[in-house]
Amino acid sequence: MGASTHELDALLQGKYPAGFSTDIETDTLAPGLDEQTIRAISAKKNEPAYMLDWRLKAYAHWTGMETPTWAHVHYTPIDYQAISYYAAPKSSADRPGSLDEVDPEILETYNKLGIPLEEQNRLAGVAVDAVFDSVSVATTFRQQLADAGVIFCSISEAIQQYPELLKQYLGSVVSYTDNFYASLNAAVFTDGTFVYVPKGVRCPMELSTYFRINTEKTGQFERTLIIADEGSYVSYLEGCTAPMRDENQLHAAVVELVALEDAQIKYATVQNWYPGDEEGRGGIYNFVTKRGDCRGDRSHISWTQMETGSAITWKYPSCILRGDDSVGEFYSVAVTRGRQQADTGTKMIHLGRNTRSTIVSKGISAGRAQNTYRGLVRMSRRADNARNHTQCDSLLLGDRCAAHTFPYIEVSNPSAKLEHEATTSKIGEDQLFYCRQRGLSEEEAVYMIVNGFCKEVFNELPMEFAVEAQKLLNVSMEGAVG
Amino acid sequence: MSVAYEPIRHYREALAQGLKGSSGYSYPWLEKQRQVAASRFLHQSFPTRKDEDWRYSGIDRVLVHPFLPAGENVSTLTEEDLRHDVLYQLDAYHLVLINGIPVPALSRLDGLPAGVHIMGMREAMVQFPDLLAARLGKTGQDETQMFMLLNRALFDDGCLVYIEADCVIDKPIVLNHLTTGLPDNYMFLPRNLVVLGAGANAALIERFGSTGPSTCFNIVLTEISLEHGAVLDHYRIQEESRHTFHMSRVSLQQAARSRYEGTSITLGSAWSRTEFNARFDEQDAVCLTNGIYVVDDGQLMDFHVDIEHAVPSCVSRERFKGILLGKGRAVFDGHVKVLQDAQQTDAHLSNTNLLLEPGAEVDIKPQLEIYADDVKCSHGTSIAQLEPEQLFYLQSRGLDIKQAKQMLCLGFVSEVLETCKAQVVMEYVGSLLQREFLKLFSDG
Amino acid sequence: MLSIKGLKIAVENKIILHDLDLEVGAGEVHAIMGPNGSGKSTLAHVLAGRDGYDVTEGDIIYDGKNLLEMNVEQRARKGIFLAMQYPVELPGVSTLSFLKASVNAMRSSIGEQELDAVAFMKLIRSKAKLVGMDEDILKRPINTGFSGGEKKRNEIFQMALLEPRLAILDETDSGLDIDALRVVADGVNSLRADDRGMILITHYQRLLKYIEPDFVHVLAGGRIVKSGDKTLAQELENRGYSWLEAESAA
Repeated sequence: MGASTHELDALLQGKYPAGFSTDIETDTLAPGLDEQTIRAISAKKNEPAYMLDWRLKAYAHWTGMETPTWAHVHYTPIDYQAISYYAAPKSSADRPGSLDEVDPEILETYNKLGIPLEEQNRLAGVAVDAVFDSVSVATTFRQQLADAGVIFCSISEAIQQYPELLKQYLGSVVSYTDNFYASLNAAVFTDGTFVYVPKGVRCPMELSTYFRINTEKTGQFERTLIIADEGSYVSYLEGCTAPMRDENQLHAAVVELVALEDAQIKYATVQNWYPGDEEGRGGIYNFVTKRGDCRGDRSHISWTQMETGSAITWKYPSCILRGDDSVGEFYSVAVTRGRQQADTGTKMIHLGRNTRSTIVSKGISAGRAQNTYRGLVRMSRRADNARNHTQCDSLLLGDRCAAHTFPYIEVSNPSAKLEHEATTSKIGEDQLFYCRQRGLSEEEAVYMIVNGFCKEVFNELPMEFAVEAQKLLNVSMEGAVG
Repeated sequence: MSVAYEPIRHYREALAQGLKGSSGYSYPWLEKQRQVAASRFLHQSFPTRKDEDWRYSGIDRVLVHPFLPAGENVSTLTEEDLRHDVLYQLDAYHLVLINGIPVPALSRLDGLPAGVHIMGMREAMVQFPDLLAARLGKTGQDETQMFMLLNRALFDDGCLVYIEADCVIDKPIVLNHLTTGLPDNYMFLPRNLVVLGAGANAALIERFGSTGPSTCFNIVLTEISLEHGAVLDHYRIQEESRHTFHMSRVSLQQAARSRYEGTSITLGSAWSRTEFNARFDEQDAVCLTNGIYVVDDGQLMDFHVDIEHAVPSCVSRERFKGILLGKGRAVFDGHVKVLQDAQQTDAHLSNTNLLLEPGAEVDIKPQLEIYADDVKCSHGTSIAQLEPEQLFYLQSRGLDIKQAKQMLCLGFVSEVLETCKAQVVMEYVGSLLQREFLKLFSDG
Repeated sequence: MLSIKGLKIAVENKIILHDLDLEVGAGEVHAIMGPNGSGKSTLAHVLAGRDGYDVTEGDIIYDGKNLLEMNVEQRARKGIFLAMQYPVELPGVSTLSFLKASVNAMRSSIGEQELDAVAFMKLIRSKAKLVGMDEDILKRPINTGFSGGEKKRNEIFQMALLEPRLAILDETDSGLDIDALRVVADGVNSLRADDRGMILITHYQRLLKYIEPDFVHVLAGGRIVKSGDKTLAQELENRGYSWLEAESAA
């Protein structure tokens, strides 16, 4: 990797984080955060009064909060006054004119992942709108969704157009007082996605960021709200296997899911933000709050995630199993290498009767990385016949990395059944020998074994996404093997 | 004018008062240890449930009682009073401590083999000052736990078990800690030290019991040091009254090729917390810790197991099994830490629970913190109930429901029970559990 | 095809094999028998190139090349196949994708085009039939949750699939019931070929009732103490190993 790494470092140091912040456009707020900033954001977005009120309450609450320190991650404190909380989308002039101007290492990664050329243009932020006919694609899909009655739009648009839904559901799963980053998000979020699937409707397609109507930057404080009304079904894919270019170091997104009676939501994430250089400089801090509320009886929420990027990942996609017979699932692959740190897991809060949850977490740690599973399973007094099965496995590649497992189990119902297993090991010498004896190189053997290790999680991803996830895993492992 | 009771002030005053008392022996190193502990205690406050280590075990129930150190107290207990104590009748070397203080009249230490020393801590201070200076307080120099700081600052007595290199003791040693005969609100702070020289081999039974219903607080610190190749079988049986509060710490240090096998049986007290810390200092040591706890209405039992692998090729196994009834609460916090140099570590921790009645609660926190790659580490936990099919099967063979439950519960814990190598201990604990189950299931 | 001369192997400074000579020609089946701990499996692992064995003396020449200079996968790609005594489980790794990777690794190493999915499945079916392999098993993660017999049969299946030049079967008969043993033996017999050498490593003579070796060698105390034809196996069955150990010690 030698020379190309240096090249990359040089390129990246030019870009992260200084590169884009040089010329502040008129439509960008000066760094700093106070009540005026909140008012300005709300005004720029032309928001109704109810939103401004909500934001201000969140901000007031946030000012009294302290940064959480319990996670197994280390970083220099963030200066929240140094961040600019509103930036208009980049004009064409600021973007690369063509792929030739894009970092070759990133392009190579795109090619390894098999990303189509037009998609590469979009991901790299190339200002050639004609290449990718997003408008017509979007129009086609929008029509199909409209026919089914599914609302799928930016949350800014929803704030204007569907105030009743917003007032009812926004913040109803993750309140603005929930935690430090969720409060910050509530105060300053700039955009995000809104989905509403009406009663009895099965959303006719996978909703994915690929076809997101608002594909432009939603910024570092993204907010997503998905509501599946009674008996409906929706599958949502977030993120992309390709490394996303982003100049913001702090990402504090909030995702809220609401599943009413008999509804099902599947939420899949592939996260591959810039992880920083080999020495751990730069890289995204991904501090996300994701929570699903199984509000209705027999509702079902499943989270599937593949986390390979970011310098620091701090996220615990959770399920509140409120409805009787509701089901929560969490499937996760978290890969850390270099100096990456991940502290991720889930919470399954069993409140209703006959609620069931499954947790499968696979952590892979290489280089000098720290990989932590942290989870909570709580079965309350009322949660008769609750069931949980948890499997957390960690794989260590190299003797300088670390893997930790910190589950919390709280059970106060005498009909609850719970099983939790966790293992930590490295790839067995005998496994490697077996593969090599059948002609595979050591590297191929490691890929194969690691892919097998993650299989249970990949099985939960939609087919084409699973293939991409597998490729991404292999790319992530490069240089980590041996 | 009366001042409202404020726990921290009460304890600080008790500490100041206690430090003034003379213990009849004094060494500069010991005074320094006491001062460090006292100073930390005075500068800290009691933990709350916001403290990660105390998340599931609130101490308000403890602090509400204005416990005071008992100081000198004369026991009126006679051998006759202990006639029905089955454990006391065991063929073993007995050191009996009443309210934290050894009572020679009740102890039976005649005929100890050469190289085996069992005595009260005060006596040990005179007989083995060098050993104590070298060993006492060597674990936990960074102690911050408030109750342990109290013990470190104020302990007056306790016991020493010292087995010289290559000595093998023919009978088990019983340290019988009994509380008795005092009015409410006394606390006892015994300090124990167990040292096994290289190649020594012993079975040690620590028993905690009460002979009366007074409300008291036992704060026990036991330090164990196993030298090269030493083997210790350690049984801890806690069957104190439901008026007792119990806080104990076992700190274990192991040298190369030493082997520790611990079994703890916890049935008693209103509120109890047991902290077991093991540290491997050298390679190829083995530490096995098993536990059984039975928690009934109104009881809280908290177990914190911390195993640190700092050197390669050591093995640790923890297996705790719990049965919960009534509004009983159990906490199990098991932490296995494998440091970077500790390659070829083999560590497994398991905690399984039977939750039998509404209102019972169990909180489990098994943790793996691993910084080495060539390791095999795992933990497993489960929570379940008695299987209706099994109950039905036993009932169809003529057992009533109480007998059936009793039998299945015994079956559940038998896996741990069978690891007791000392037959007498296994029998004693078996009958103890049988009696306990009989009692627990007779009214439900 | 395979020529072992004066081989001396140590594991952690302990000598396991002393001064071992063995010649295996194309088309020959050699049985290596011996008591437990005689070094049989060590020989198999050394031939396959497993780490952890120090070759302190001697040479292994395979098809005119120095085998000891090749790593594990290079040897595999040159046609050395080891059917393992304890085939290892690879959780989550599907048998089919594993085998496809293996077959294609072999093919590309000799400049042949990789098989596409259709051609590969055709090959799999024909070979599965050959060794009576249940196709359902191919959909499961490799060796994971397989019974002992299934694992061994899977090894023979892979041998059929990869068509090695030199096949080494390490205690493939151990732990098998009589039916499974037959299936394994039938598979091996069907793979006997003029251009293929085979080394059967076994503790018991019973496998040799079904597979007739051309040569039988007895390994004891890290040395070949006796070689002969198939009648030697029968003699061992009747007399055990101790007379040979005594003889070699004398």
